[in-house]
Amino acid sequence: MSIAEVFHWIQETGWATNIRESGLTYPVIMSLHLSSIAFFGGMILMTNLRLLNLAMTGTPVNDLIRQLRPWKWAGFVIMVTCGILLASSKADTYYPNPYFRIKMALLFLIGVHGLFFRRSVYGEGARSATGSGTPRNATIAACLSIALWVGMISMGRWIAYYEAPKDATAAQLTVR
Amino acid sequence: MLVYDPSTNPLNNNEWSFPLTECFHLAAMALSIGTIVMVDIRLIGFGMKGQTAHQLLRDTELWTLAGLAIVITSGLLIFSSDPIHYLHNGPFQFKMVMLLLGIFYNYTVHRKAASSNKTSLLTVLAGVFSISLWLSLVFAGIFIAFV
Repeated sequence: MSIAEVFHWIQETGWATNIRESGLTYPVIMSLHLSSIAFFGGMILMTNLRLLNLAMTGTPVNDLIRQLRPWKWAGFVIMVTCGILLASSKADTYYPNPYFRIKMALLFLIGVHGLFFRRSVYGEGARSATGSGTPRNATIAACLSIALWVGMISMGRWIAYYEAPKDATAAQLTVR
Repeated sequence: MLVYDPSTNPLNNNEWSFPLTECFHLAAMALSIGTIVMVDIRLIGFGMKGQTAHQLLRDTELWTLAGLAIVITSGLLIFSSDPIHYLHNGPFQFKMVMLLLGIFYNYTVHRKAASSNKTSLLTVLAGVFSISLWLSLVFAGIFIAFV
């Protein structure tokens, strides 16, 4: 079974079909997807601005990260769940879409980023004091995180503007 | 008489400027609403308890304002790409009413609630109302494209 066939199979499942063919479910899931970006994307951005010493400098980095962590996780789970539902409902057109592929690569890199900097920047003992200077790895982590997330949002938007070449679409549709 | 013709708008004349404007709109949306919701969570008493609501408001208000400025500017640009369409669009009309209400609310009631240092029924209600209000804006924004 090729990947294209797996995507086609997903699109043909009952729930994916229901989402695609419903008038209301699709935009509601999309709204929830965007709401997670609004609520929790802002928190990610504020964490990064704090790491760069540009915002909330009165709150120790550790405190802020610890307090925001459960909310960001909740938001991430809602965002990914809604994203899977949205992509599944149109899996055949998402699979060949280059912006979708870049977006998934960025999502993977966001995971790598989190693991890579978990100890040195985001961990409990990473930096206890407020500190006037910003450690270099915190600056790097924050800049990378902002770039990755802005890239994610941008690719998400561009998915909607990609027009597959005519013959490529036909090839996708003939997958059994 | 000068009549505005959207077909002359650069946003309608290349492939990248419209989605790029939308990206600014979404990133600034995250900044403005995200920072407001951080205060809301504190007002409700769900979390962010390391600071008072007042401290959180002070720490985030500049970023909220910056986000609002960018989200409204990019929104005006998006609007300019097809004004007639938007003016007759139900979710858009609703969104604009909620936006005005939201800005007014954020700088009056919400601010006042955040200046009290204790969680009470009133601050909880202020936070819940704020979250619902901004949530409705996001939903309305999506539904503009689905009516």
